[in-house]
Amino acid sequence: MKILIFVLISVCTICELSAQEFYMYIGGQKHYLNVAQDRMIVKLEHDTVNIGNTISMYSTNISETDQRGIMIVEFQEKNTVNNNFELIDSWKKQGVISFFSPIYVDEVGNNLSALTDQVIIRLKDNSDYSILQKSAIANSLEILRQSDFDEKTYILVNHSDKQNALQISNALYETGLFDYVEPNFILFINYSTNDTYFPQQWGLNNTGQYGGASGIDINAPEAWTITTGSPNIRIAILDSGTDLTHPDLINNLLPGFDATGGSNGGNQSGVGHGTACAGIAAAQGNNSIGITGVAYNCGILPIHMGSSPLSDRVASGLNWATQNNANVVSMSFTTGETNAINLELAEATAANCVLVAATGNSNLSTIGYPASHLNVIAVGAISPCGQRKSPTSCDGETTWGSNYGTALDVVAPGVLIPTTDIQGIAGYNPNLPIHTNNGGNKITNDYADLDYTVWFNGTSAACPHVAGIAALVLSVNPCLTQQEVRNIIEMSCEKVGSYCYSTTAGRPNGTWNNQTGYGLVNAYKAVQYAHSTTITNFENISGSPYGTLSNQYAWQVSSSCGLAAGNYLVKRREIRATVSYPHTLSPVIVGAANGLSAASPNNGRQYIGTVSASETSATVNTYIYEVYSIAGQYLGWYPTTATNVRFNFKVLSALDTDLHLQNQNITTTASHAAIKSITAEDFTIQSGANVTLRAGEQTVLKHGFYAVDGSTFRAYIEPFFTCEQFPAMVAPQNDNYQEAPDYVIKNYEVENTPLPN
Amino acid sequence: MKNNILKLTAFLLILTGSVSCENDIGTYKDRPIYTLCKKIEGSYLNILKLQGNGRLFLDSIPVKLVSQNNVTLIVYYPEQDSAIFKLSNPEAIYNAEICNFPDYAKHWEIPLQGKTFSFEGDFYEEGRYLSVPPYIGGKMVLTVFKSK
Repeated sequence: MKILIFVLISVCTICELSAQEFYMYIGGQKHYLNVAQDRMIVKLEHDTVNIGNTISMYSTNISETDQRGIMIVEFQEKNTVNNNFELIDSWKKQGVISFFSPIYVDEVGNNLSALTDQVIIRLKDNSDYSILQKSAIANSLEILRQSDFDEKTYILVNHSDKQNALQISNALYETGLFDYVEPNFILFINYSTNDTYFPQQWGLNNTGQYGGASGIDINAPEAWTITTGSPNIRIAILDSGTDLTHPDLINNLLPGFDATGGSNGGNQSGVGHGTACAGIAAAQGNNSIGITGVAYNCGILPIHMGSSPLSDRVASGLNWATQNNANVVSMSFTTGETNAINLELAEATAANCVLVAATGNSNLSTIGYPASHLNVIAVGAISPCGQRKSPTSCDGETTWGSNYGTALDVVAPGVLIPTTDIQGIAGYNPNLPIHTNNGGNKITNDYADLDYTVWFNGTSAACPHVAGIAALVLSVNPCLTQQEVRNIIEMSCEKVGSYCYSTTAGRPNGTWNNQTGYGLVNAYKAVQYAHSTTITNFENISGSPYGTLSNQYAWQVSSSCGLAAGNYLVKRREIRATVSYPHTLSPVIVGAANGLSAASPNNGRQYIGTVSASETSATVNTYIYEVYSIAGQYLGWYPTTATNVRFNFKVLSALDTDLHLQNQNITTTASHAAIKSITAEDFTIQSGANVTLRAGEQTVLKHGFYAVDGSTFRAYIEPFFTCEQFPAMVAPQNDNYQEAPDYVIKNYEVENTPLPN
Repeated sequence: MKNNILKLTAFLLILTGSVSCENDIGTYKDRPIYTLCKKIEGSYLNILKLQGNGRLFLDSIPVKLVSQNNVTLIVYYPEQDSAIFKLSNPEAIYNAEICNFPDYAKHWEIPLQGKTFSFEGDFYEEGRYLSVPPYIGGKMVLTVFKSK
């Protein structure tokens, strides 16, 4: 999945999309654009409801909708953007969508950009403004504003219903009147790394490698927009030892331990397993070689147990990890349960260490020890298609399956995983005979670079993915307890696969099933939740029908829980519930309901949507369906009736890292918080209004900040997540800022520096 | 002609084998193995029955065999009086300390390229790294150990 940066998009007039040449001018030269034929973006007129129905009828897939109602529509086989033009245009005419655009892609099909309704024009000379005005009128453009960065550059909005932003840009450039004219694109930012084998690391960013399903990954690149890991967070790799001079690990390695009784400092002794696990968790990233670890700036504590994870070595290694302030321990092994290990697991937990272990590869419904221990996060493996790894999953490896069962907590990528290997001929690569059962029918050769292997497999590979996520979460907020980290990892899971996730006794962090636990771990959501400072729980909240029953329409069910695959006719009913909670900044709803999403019967099970969320209350929703056979026979409500709908969720206070408040006129009370900085620009606090800003590092008051007499303004410098208590700094109240220059409130400077009058 | 060559080869192999084969002292059937392997009791996950042929080395394994697949090795370390069992095949890589390496074998003359043996034994699994194939660690109890 990729993150979209939406550049000031707003409701657009129709953007003609038909077979045509796509190009733009860069430096006066035509640059041709490749258009994706299987996907495009649309912007919803209202919400997801209508578009969901329409799209499900036409057998398409829609991606997660962003907060502004923009989403990617993917057409299934044999459909293309061009031959669906009439369909898309009909959505526009019906008022279902307000805007659509082709997606421009690179040579291998990665999303690069899409149009908005805006055009950027740079004048040749400041005196050409009148030319701009005339051209705007002639082309149904509205001059929106001047650029913040260049006085010759203007942003315009396209109101034409005949030409899209690209066509208008080309036409205007070809007049020769302007320095340049180009669409204001939506950019698809791909936060990949420059490491050699990163493109094969489907577990971090699944683009369909090995025939997998795009998006079935842990969302690592998205998480890296928030953190790539702190060197202060230490992941202990309790394993066969790690190659201490490996070029992709050496910069993250800390002094280690030999749990066999020797003194090798955590080095490997011929078995490549530990080196492989260490790489997945925290190989150095963006160093132009090898692979990228999940938490690629975190520290690694290598622990050597040799070729056998014997119980005494496990206990000894755990003890050393606890004594040496490990924040996370990754355990990709199973061993016999002993009192000594149980004691060390308890000690590590008491020391706030997050414990993670692999469930086993026997395709059994029982989970090995120590994964089965209550204090340990039990990690199973999934295939690149989002199934529990089994002998029949899509990866082609038929000899093993991930253990599952009542003790399973989460799943993570665990097959066809590229990672670090012992340098040279030792380890996995090039010992091809060891890989006889590896690679399935997807890979036949290992890397030419013997310091890496292309196909590390097993729940051993899944485990360090989760250890890395735990380290990322702690990198954002080191104040979290190990239980809070575990809650966050479990709450943030994606409900992948055709499994029936349900509310389960003893499973408080969302819906669960015994094949994939809480689901596929999601690093991006996890680090977002790590920002959370308060949590309010709501359990078994009932709801009420909202609005009217929809018209009847067709449903194609390919897999579900209780409803046989086939074609149906359905009417949809929305169920809503509203709750109140103590004052919460930037609330985020995390949880589930026993309904479905509005989009499709084949995904979105246990769907909960946020209709609105203020600082004191929220309204959530889900959908149920009145189902009929194609012949019209009434089959009942699915998945449940309105009176049986229940919402289980938490309200998190999820803070932004940097918050930019702009064009706001505050007349009552408002409060905002950000982990690092808050910038207030064109921000007016009216008399009687009360504004409180809390920022971890600084608050910047830019031009246009105005607090009139009689208003109250407080700026707290509140270092979040330092695990230390700093006194809050309070700015003087009732100050009157008249068009203040940029003014920075930094930690402890508020009291010492007079605010401008 | 071809048949004659095969018969001759088979005869020579049998002859060679009978010459180098030890007496029945190589079996453990009358020995109480747990008197030699007390540590095993209690903390193992599985017992795996293993048998086959392998090569015995003194002190170290030739580098070319370290990572080879489909190989069974025992390394005896006279100074520590300990022996390590290693079996690698496409399904798993086994590593174990042998808790009852026999006294008679300690006096065998072992060439650099190793001495061939046949064995049967119980592999007491104590832990495994959960890769595919797994690395399985534990203790090995030999029930038959003969030179070939």
